[in-house]
Amino acid sequence: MNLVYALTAGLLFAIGLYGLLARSELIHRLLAANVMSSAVFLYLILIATAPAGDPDPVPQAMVLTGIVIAVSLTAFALALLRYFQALNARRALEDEADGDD
Amino acid sequence: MSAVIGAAYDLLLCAGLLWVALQAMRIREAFGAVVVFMVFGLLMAVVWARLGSPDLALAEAIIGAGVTGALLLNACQAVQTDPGARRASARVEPSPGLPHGLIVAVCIAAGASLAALMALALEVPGPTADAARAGADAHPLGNPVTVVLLDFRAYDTLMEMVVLLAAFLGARVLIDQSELAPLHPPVPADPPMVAPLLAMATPVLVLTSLYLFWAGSHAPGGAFQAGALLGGLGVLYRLTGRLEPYDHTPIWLRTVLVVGLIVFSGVVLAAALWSPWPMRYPETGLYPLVLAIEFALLLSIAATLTALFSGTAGFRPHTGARS
Repeated sequence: MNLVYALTAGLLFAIGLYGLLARSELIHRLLAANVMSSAVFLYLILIATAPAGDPDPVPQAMVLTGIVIAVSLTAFALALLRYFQALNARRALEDEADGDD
Repeated sequence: MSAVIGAAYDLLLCAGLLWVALQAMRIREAFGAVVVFMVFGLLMAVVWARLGSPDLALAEAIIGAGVTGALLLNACQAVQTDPGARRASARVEPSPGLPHGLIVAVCIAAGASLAALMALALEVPGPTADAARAGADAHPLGNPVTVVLLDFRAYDTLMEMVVLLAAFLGARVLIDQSELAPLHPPVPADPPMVAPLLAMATPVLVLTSLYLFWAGSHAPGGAFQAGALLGGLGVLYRLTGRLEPYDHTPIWLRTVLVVGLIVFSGVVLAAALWSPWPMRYPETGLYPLVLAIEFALLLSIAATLTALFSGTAGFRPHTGARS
């Protein structure tokens, strides 16, 4: 059973990598980074799972922490994204004003 | 027979997970990609449950799919409504530089080799902390994940709260500097179903959140899941105008944002009174201390997530007089 999930984790990471490289929109890149982190979490839990039984509590707690950190990073990145856009808009306006002179 | 069904279920789940992830990467439109990504979060929650980790399943369903989704949808709206948004997006250079075929080839190679390596490395003994597991079994708290989070590796959890607070402060500074308008303009009149929906959702969400907090010490659940759920309620109130944006952080909100850190750090330091080390619980009275810390964490997490979603310096309850 774990074999299937291990293969999935590897492929999931590659899909995230594809999104990160192939897409230029910032929101899509953020999604891609989130997919990659999910793949890492998945593998971290997999290697801590004994063949029979539940995953070890320490990696579980680490992944729980990781999920919360991921959401705070996403929130901060989205604020950065809005900031970047506002900055670009302001620069575009200034360029236009320069062009008119 | 049940083994066959289980294997089929795993295969379907993994295939679905990969398909949804690929679609989230491929859909051009940001809104569609975000919605598909939320479905991905839900499937991840099912995967965690399947792997025998209900704590992670709860956290992923509430945080990964719910809160992250709300934040991302918010950003989709912001991308369209912020001043000069269209102009700005036209200026961002469209091409990442690499030819698409090369990227696909690199990713296929990386995926194949990673999947093969990960499947092979499963045989290698992973980071199983047997001492931690044995210690957790003997611990007065019944949920091993909570034991690790609040006792064995409490420092990680403390720092996690710091990261959450830092994310809010960072976002606040950025939004302040760019002088962006608040995202959710006040709604002149509620659509007819909003008030009944909130009247139903509020008690259910508060009760579920308190249950998750209470159960966290002996069963799946805990401060993070409960706090995120309460934060979801805050998001709902923020969206429907019950909480309105405010240009500075009111004092009560500041208090709630840091109360988790203060209580946690207080207990960590107070440990010097009864033991030679900080971060050690007293022999008796562990349970009330853990509950106090978890409740403070719950409040802080809920407030931080709502504030992050709000995208403003602060928020305050809506009073009918102003609108």
